[in-house]
Amino acid sequence: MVNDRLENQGLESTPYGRVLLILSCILFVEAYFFTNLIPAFSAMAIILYLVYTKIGLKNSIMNLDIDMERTILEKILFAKKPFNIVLKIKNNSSIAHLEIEDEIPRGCSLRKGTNIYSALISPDKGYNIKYSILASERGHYTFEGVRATIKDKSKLFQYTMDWTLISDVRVHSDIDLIKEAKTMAKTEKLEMTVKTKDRVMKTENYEFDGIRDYIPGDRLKDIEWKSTLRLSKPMTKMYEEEAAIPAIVLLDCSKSMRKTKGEKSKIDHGIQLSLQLIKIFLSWEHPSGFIAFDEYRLLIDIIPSKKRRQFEKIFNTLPYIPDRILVNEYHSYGFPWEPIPLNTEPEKQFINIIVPFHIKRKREYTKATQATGIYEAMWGLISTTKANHFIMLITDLETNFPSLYQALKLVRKYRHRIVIITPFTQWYDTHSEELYPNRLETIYRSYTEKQIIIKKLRGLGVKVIEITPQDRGRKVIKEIERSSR
Amino acid sequence: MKKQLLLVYLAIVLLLQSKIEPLSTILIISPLVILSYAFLIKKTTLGIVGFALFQLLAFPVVKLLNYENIGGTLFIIITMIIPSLILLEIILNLENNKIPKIKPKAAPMLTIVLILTIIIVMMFVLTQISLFNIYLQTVEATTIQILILASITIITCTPFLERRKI
Repeated sequence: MVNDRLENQGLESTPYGRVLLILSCILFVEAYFFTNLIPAFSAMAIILYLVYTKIGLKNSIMNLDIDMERTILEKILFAKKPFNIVLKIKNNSSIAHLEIEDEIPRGCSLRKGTNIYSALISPDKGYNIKYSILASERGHYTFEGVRATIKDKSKLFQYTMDWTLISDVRVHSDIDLIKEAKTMAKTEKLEMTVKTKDRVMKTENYEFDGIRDYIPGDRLKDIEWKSTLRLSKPMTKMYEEEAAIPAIVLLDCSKSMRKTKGEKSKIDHGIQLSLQLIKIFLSWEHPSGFIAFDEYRLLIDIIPSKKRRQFEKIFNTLPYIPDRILVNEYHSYGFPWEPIPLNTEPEKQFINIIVPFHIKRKREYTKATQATGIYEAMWGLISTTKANHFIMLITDLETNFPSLYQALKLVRKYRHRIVIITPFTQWYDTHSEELYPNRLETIYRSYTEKQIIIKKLRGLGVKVIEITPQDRGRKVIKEIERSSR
Repeated sequence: MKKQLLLVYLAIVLLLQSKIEPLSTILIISPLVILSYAFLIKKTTLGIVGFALFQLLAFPVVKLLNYENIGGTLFIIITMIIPSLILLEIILNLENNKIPKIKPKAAPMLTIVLILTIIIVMMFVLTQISLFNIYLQTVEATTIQILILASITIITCTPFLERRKI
């Protein structure tokens, strides 16, 4: 609970207070013109009553002591699904009339109940405001504070002040996305295997591969007893197994992915696809993981696993993906190809000092292309696992492309399979009414540039799947299956 | 019921102190009828309208020409002005189910007593002095007394009614 007075607008009179003040003036004038002292005495009495009320309210405000606490009842919040909020108010002072307005975050709308409480409250009593709001989009929302209007018991004067009472909430994507992913996982079939000696990923299909010396930790049933007796030292059987390949979805959360003119955004589409792909891979017993990164660093890093709650674990991290950025006019970043050189010693030194501070991880950088989120993600992947992975990278290829290219080269060296799923910006932000010749030319030029980039990536042995806003995980899975055949 | 009794009391006091004639009776009764209806439907806005009409129309029916007569002035204040303030308090709390019981603080009460003392002293002292050959107790004594009363009230109360940040 944060309970701090921010600012006030001073004591001001309410409409009733103003009416009484005007009435007093009129009474003085009336007294003067009708030469009668009674209206003048009445006016004086009313003014004195106003003064008394105002001093009383000021006195109460000086000793103001109100406790407020906001609670969000639901643990997991979803977009387009109302969630409930309770604001507890406790009046420890002698304020008579209190009007409390809990400020709703931008992008949320009131659904049920009211966020305004206006009543006469007794000292030392607690009150609750209950209401429900609805967030239209996934993202991070902040309740900034509470606006309190304090009135005297006769409501002649009021005092408005803002309290900071901050509550941060992270709202998940629409719950229908999970349902869609689960339905898709039931209908789509996917089997991608890899030869491995790692027992963790064992399937039923495995072949005898050879015998080696016993290493502490080997299982008892893998000991080759005949050879052990013959050679008088413990020997272990080795198998080469057919295993479901670990899959990992990498989601690019850089600004180019997040910018949108409103209706469709690449980042939300990316999240939707990630969920569907992960669910399909998990349902086919593939250990699955998820990595989200932006221009500079890793945001989420969940290593592949096929544990029971892996999908929920990944799903719970999704609200931490940065929000979409609303812009009036979206211009594609283009496809910068030439890497920024990092040759001089001062430049290297600068990068090595600044970047670890920014990404909160210490590593030696020799090139500028290494100081990016995508490189960090790929570097982390190859340094933590030796097993072959199936990497699905969702990116618009507009940010840090030289770095992405370097990272893909690095990963390909370790024989990981890579699929890039790339949305084309213009499909997300162009309306059919805007398709006049100049615009079409721009789109065509941009598309041609992107095709050159894609060609370069395919040269590395990377499969590239181009997607449109309407495409779902089903299409991507079909494309993956086709390529793996 | 107590509210209605207050209205009846005010009507009786005003009728007794005014000349019994149709116009005065209408001027006294009509705002009180509005007030009575406001009490019935519990609407503060209508109550304020009734109160304003009561102050503007019903009160001037009674004449007070000079506050030099302390007895008469005190009688008017006790029988009419104070009950009208009670009436105002009731009107302002019409929409509340009950008038909140809040312990009166010493500071506001002391301030009001101080202001009242200043007003009373100034009222009686100023009318007694003769300055620059202006003798205040002339034919225009009532209008001058009203001006003095208004100016003292404005001078003493304005600092308290100004909008200030706390």
